[in-house]
Amino acid sequence: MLLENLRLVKYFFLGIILQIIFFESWDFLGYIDPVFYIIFFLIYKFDGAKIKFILLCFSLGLIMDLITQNPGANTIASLIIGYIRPFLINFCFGVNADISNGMISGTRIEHRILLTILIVFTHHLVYFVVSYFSADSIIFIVKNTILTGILTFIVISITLGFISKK
Amino acid sequence: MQQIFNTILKNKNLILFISLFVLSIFFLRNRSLYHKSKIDKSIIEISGNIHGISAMFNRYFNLKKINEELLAENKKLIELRVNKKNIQDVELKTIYNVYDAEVVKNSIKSSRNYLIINKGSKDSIQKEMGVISSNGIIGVVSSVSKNYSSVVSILNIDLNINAKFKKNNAFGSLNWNGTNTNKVTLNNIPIINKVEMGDSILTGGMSTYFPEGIFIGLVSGYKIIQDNGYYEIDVTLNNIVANEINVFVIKNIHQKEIKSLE
Repeated sequence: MLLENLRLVKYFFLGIILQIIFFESWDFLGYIDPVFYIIFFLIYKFDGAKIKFILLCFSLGLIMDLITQNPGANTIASLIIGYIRPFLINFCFGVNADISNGMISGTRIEHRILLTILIVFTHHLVYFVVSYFSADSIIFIVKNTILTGILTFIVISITLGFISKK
Repeated sequence: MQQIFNTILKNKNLILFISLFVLSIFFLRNRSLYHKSKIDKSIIEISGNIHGISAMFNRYFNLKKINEELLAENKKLIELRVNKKNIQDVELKTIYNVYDAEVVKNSIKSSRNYLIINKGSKDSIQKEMGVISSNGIIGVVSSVSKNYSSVVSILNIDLNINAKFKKNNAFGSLNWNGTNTNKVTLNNIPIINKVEMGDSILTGGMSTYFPEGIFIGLVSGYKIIQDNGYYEIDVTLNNIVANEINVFVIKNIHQKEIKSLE
């Protein structure tokens, strides 16, 4: 239990630190940065306490907003992921939804990819909707969601691959 | 009781999520002016729609009273028209556009009261337009959505309005002290001016919100502030803000030009 909590704390802060120090300055194609802290939403145990997870997601988004001077898009996007993740897990993994570390081992790779895609793109869609907050900017929202989503998906997939092998 | 607790426990995740979501929206609204303005516009629109339904019923049941008010207003206008010798000269000098509107929500219980009127940006309403009724002044437009506008009421402690005495044009600043909804306070009138009970107070015309000379109310009490040589004058409003339904929004067509010089 203690080890599991330590692992959680590690990914919680690793996500924030790497995001701020490394990924915030990528500026791929001039303006696209991958959102690395999403790794925490995927690594958290499938059967972990939901209340704790919602609070952690909220805290993670809030810390990111405070550090990056964002008005609150990270908080809202992370909070929504925190709430809908159990439904997404059930949708992607079906009967295997109760495997604790399903994102690392014991489940089929296509299910993991589907969950990663759903979490990454849902998070980015909410993030950009809140950031632009205008129906007139729908094209920018969709464009940024797709481009940032693809880059985040690649970074997250590589990281998850390393973690699984380890 | 047990069932209530069971329901709360059963939906604890949803309750926590909604609570944190509301907190996040407040956080977002407070940290970004852009989001604040967008969220406020949405709130005005939603609130306007909800209160519009109840206002519709209220208007229906008050039709007799509204008709009487309109007749009285018509009478006043006809009198004005009859008394003007050359009305065309007056019209040439007009620098104010007037738009009619109806109040759909009116609060008087707080110290910072607001109204919502059923006209918005699609009806050419803009921020900082003055709002009056046939009996007096109502407030200033503070925020505009597509179909509705929020108005800072004269019964709002943050609003100051330029006002003057009808008899000698001595002008000062009118504001509400947050207690009596029928009375406002006129400050900054020097004690060299003679003040009497029942003196008429009009809008001063020194701001771009209201034209000069709109009747506000009558002096109902005054005292001299010894330290600074000014009066503190109680003015009883001519209109009952809480009962106003039909209002007029006033646009000073030179407002931008005047503001650019301020």
